[in-house]
Amino acid sequence: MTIRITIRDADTGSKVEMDLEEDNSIEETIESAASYWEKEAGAYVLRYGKKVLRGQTTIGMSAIRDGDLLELIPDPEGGY
Amino acid sequence: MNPDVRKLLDMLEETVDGIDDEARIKLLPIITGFVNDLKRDIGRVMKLKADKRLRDLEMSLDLKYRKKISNIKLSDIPEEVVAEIRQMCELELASKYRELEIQSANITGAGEKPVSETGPKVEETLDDAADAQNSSDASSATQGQVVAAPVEKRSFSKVKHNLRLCRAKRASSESSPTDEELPVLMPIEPVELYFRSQAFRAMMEHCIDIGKRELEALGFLLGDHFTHEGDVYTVVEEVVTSELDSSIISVKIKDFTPMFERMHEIEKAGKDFILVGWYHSHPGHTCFLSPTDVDTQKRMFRKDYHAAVVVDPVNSEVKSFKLGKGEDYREISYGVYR
Ligand SMILES: [Zn+2]
Repeated sequence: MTIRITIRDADTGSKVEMDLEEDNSIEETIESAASYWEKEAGAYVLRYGKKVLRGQTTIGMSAIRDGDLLELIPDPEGGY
Repeated sequence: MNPDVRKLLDMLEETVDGIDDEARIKLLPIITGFVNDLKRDIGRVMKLKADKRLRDLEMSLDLKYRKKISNIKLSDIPEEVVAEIRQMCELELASKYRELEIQSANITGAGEKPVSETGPKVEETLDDAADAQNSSDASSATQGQVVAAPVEKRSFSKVKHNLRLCRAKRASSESSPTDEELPVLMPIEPVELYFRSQAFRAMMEHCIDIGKRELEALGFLLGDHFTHEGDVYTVVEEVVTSELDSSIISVKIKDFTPMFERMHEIEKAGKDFILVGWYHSHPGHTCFLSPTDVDTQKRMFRKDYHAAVVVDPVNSEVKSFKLGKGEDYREISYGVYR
C-alpha cells in the first residue's frame, strides 16, 4: 500500500511530498529527501514528532501513516 | 568623561583584580545581558534601525566593553559586587551613549543644536536631526558640517571627520577630555545574528556546565531569518541540545530523543522555527571554526543565514561565524535581545 507523507527540511523550512511503499526503509526515505535537497544522506536523521527514525526500519514497521509530517534533521559534528 | 564615572571605573578595576575564570564566566552573560538591555532602550530613542552607521558605532562600543569585561580577573564574585559592577558599567555606558547622541546630532546635521541632558529631550533632538538629515539630503552641506551624502552612502572617513569636529568642540569646553577618553571607532560590520536572551543564556549555561567536565557541548539554534535592505539577519529564539558523545576535542549527538522531545514541545506551542545554525564549545581552546566545524557548516548549514557559534567557557569567549565568500568562514557580530 502506498502512503503519502510530507518531509520538511529543518534548516530551510521547505517541504516535499513523497509517496512511500510499506517496504521502503527509513534509510531510503532519508536518501530520497536528501538527494531532493542536494544534501549528503549519511549526515541526516528523520524526526517523527518526538521520535528519531533512521536505519533499515521499514515504513510498514514504523508508526508512520498517510499524511504524516517528518522532518529531515542534520547530524553535525564539532571539533577542535 | 564624567569624573564620577572615571572614579567608578577605577573602583571596578580594583574590585575585580583577581577574579578567577569561573567567576568571569558567570559575569559575562550578566554584563552582556544588561549591555543589550541598554542598547535596546537607547536604540529605540535613537532610531538605530533607521541609521545603519549609528548601529556600527553602537556595536564598536559593545565590542570594546566586551573586551574590557573579558579581561577582568577575580577569585569569586559575591552578589553585591556583581550588582556594583553592573551599576558602574551602566553609568559608563550611559556616558558613552551620550557621546554617541552628540555625534549623531552632529553627523545628521543638527550639530549646532544644544544636546539635551534627559531621555525625552534626546528623542526630540534626534527627530530634529532626522528632519535635518532629510533636508540636507535634498540640499547642500551646512557650514562646519559634513552632510553631503545620505547616511547609507556616507564614508567612514567622513564619519571620522565629524568625530574630529565633535572632539574639537569638546576640547574647547570645560571638561577637556583626553584622547583616551574619546570614543573609539572601528569600521566593523553590522550585527547579523540576534539571540533572544533566554536562548543565549541557555547556550552559555550548557557550554559552561559541560565545560566543567572538560567536554565539548553542541546544540542547534532555532529561529528565523529576515532580509532588510539586502542584509540578512538571523534570529535565534531557542536552543536545543541532546545527549552527546563528547570529548575535549570533539562532539556529536549520541541520542536525538531529548532534543526531539523539546522540538516537539516547541512545535506544539505553535512556533514554526527552522534551524538557523548550531553552536558548540571549545573549552579552553578559544573560538574559531576547526576543519571539522567548517566541513559541518559546508555540508549542513550552507544558507546565508546559517550561523555557527563557538563558545569557550574557560576563556569566557563567544564568537559567531558564517560561511564566507571565497574564504572558509568569516566572523560575524551578534547581539542579545530580551
Ligand atoms: Zn569546533
